[in-house]
Formats: sequence, structure tokens, C-alpha cells
Amino acid sequence: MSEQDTALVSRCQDDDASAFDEIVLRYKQKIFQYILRMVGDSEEAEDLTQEVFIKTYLSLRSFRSQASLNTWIYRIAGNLCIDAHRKRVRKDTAMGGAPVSLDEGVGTSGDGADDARTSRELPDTRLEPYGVLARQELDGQIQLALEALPEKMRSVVVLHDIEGLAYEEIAEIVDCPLGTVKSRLFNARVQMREKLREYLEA
Amino acid sequence: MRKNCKDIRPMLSEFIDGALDSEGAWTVRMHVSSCQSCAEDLRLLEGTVSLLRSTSQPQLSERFDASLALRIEAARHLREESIHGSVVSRTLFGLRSSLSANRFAIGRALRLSAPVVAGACVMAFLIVSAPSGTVMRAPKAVAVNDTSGFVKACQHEQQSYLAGQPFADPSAQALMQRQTDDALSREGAVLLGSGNI
Ligand SMILES: [Zn+2]
Repeated sequence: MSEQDTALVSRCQDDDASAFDEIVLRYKQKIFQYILRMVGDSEEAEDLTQEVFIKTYLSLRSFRSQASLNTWIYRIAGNLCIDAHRKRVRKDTAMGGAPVSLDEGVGTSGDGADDARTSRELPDTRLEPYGVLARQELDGQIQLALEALPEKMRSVVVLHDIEGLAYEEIAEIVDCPLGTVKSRLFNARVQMREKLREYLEA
Repeated sequence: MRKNCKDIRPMLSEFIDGALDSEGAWTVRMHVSSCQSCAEDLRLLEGTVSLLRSTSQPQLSERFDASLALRIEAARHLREESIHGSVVSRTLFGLRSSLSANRFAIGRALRLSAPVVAGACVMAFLIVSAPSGTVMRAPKAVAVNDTSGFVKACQHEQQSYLAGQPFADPSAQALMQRQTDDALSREGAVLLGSGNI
């Protein structure tokens, strides 16, 4: 875990409130983006993001520094998404509605995409030829394509290609072997490619 | 050893990430230089990855921080309570019976900075004025001006509270209590569930 994170955690454990604020500041956008990609609804995603930080806050005291704060927070987020998904399925089934399918709402409201996206440097591949409207439509299509993926694949592709995490970190977050991460990522990308084909042919 | 398309395809994803060893990367490069179909596969897969990387970063709403601060306060309070032993039963029975706990939490919430509390009041208003469903969320686009009277009332109540005076407006008081109750109930659920992270 990075030195900065270690320092933040021990300051939190010493009841330094500003250290926790810093953790929130550092992670809120990333966690929100991850959760939003998973659940598809921005209000639900905000609510779950807050829950991630509450759980983080409540369990910081028992946090041991051999784990990384980064993967730990993402793990909490991933588990909350799974719970939320189960609840939704249960509710949908109980109400006799369409099973599983997520809201069509895309919830990407951002045009100010200039914040640091991830801790890792990603090449700036923003597509200049697209205007704002086309960009929004494309973002919407990407979100729909993501939602069509099985949850386990979606999680891996979001964590890697959108959040910029490494294979090893993802293996720790979703709790599966490295080989599984790689094959899920490959399969997810292939499915995404099929859904987004019309935007790729140009 | 020459690999065929079936062996190459699964390597493309790692190839894009630069995660293959030099021999693997060389094998892929050699293959796609002579195989049209795999080269096309690779091109589209690379395009897919850059589309994903280029998606717009969604923005959190402006009320996120204030609302989180309030929920953290409630969680902190609940944890302190739990250290003193009585939280589980209180949480399970909906926290209704504990007026003193509510007042305590309200007091803490009020000590947050004024804008934060004002934001929280707007939220409380939106929550309470939402249609009868139990979803405690504010509609996205609400003109803050519409609630400025309410915010003022809340601010007045905060000042009264801090000054130790009785609440002047019972409805604002009820809202403050209800909001704190809601936050406490939610955080109680989180707290109880936090063992299984
Ligand atoms: Zn081939």
C-alpha cells in the first residue's frame, strides 16, 4: 500500500477527522464511477457510494496495513453492488416485473471529464471528432453494453478499462485467481466489441 | 512453433495491455502481420478498449458531501452508543424510543458548518416532501430558491438549539428529528451489517 495511504489510515485510527475527509476526497469519484457502471442509476449509485464510506469509516480501526486501502475500499464497493443487485432481483421477482434487467437510465451526467480519472495515467484517448451530443449518445451506448454483460465480467472490465486498475488489484478485489481476471476481461471486451461495432467501423 | 488463430485470439486482450512476455508479444505480432482476420480482430478490440477509456467521468451531485457528512455523524454516534452497549436493541426497535439520543445527534449535526447544515435542511425538506413512497431521495433538478424560507427556518432552529432555547417552529423541529432518525436508522443497518465486509 502506498505510503500516503498508510499515513492516512493511521491518522484515521488516531481519530483525525481530516484524514478521513481526505480518503473520501481521494476516492469518492472513482468509487462512484465504479458503482454507477455497475448499477446504472446515478441516485442509487450515490447512495451506495455513501454507504461504502460509512462502512470504511466504521471498519478503519480494524484495518490492517498489509492490505491496500485502495483494493479494500473497492472490495467494499463491489460487495455492496452485489447486495444491491440481489435486492433488486428479489424485488423485481416479487413484483412480477421483468427479471434482472436494469433501468434504462444511463446516469452519465458529466461533461466535465477533466478530473484525474484514476490513480494511474491513462492515455488520453478522448475522441475529438465526436461532438457533445454524439459523445453523450456514445456514453449511453457504452453503459447499455456494460449492463448487458454478466455482473462478474462487467465488474472486471469496469475496474480495468474504466478505473484503470491492474490485474493483480482486480484479482484481490473480486477475489478470484489472476487467470480468471484475464479471461473475464477478454470475454467482456469481445462482447463489448460486438455491441459497439457500429462505433468502431469508422 | 507456429500458432493458429484459435491460439492467438485469447492472447489479444493481454497483448493490448502490454501484459504478455516478450515471446508472447512477438508471437502475436508475427501472426497479425500475416493474418488479416486476426489483425482486424485486434484493431476492433483496441478500439473497444479506447472507447471504454474515453467514457465521460460522471459527476457526483452537489449534495453528496453534506449528506455523507450527516450519515457519518450518525454512524459515529451509533458506534459510540454501541461501545456503551445499548445500540443493538435500540437499532432493532427503530430508535424511536430514544429522544435523548436524537437530541444528541442533532446537536452534533448542528455543529457542522452552516452551509453543510443548510444543505442538509434542503435535503430533509426534499425527503419529507417526496411522494409517499419510502424512497428518500431528492429529485435531481430542484430550484434551491423554492426552499429558502425553509432553510432560514432551519437555521433559526439551529441557532435556538445551540443557544439552548426551545424550538420556535415545531414543524422544523420535527423535520430535523425525523431526518436524524432516518439517518440513524440507515446507519444502524449499515453498522449491524458491517461485520461482513
Ligand atoms: Zn489469425
